[in-house]
Amino acid sequence: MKTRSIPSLCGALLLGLALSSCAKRGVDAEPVASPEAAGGADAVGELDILEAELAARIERLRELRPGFTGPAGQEVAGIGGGDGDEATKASEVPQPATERVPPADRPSGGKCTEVCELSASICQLQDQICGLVRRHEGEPRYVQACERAKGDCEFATEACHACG
Amino acid sequence: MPTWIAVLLGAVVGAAGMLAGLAQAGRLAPAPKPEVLVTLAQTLEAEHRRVDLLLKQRDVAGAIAALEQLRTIAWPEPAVAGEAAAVLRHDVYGRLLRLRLDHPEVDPKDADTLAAIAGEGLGADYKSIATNAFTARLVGIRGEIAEKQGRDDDALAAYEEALTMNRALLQQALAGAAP
Repeated sequence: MKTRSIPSLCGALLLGLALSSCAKRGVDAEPVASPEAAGGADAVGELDILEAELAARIERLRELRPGFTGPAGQEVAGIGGGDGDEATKASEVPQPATERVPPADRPSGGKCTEVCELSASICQLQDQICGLVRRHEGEPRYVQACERAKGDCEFATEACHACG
Repeated sequence: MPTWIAVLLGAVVGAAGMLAGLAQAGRLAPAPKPEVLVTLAQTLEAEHRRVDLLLKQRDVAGAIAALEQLRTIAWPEPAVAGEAAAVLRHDVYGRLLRLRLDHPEVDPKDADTLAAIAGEGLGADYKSIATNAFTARLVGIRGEIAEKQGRDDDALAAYEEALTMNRALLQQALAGAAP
């Protein structure tokens, strides 16, 4: 597997982002643009949406870090532009089963979180593989795949437990 | 600070964080034109946050529609934006298909259509990309779709492929360094 030095790449990317972000709004170097821009959406409406997104992100950060304040030290009152109770309502909404990203590439709690989330993915695949066996009983390929998957799941589960 | 500047800074930092994470995976080929990748990542980060908000508001249809729109953008080729662009595409398609599989009643699509979307997302050369969780997820989802189509052999192959990827990622995580 290849390795790459991180600091210079990150520094260049941050600088590039900072320089390009202001210019990007009116320029398309490549035909890659937000759907809103492409569709000529109302700028105010677009900003309202983005503001709400940012407020939601800040709200999540505040849940993780008590005392966190939003940009420029401003206390976050709730999701921008809407009902003051909206943040409370949003927090009461059951979390969707759909997870956005396999956290392996976005560790939120360190290495152990990554290990345990990979363990969950591996064991889910084990369930899926072994679920096929019911329709293919006696077929060696399916049976062997299920056995391998069980071994992987056991190893991953132990790794998660050992890490935590 | 004006609100729009704060929002812009948030998007910039978010996109930079995403890219740093991808680079930190340490195994993606660099982008010949980093500015293209940066622009793409910035756009996608904003859209993902919009989808997060829509899901929090229980607007699954809106979330699916937003992700469907991303299928129409001109994804840059690896020769231009490097492997990270393909990984970002796998993330988007994986999220879209996960939503569709979890909410089949919303804008229903048959399994053949979902399979085509999965293939479109993965692309022809996904196996040449360094192992990563986004690609692994999309491969696993392709297995689920194959199972719905009644193609159990293909489903098993996809599940095993995804399992191999996840096993490798776990080994990397346990080792604490890129192989």
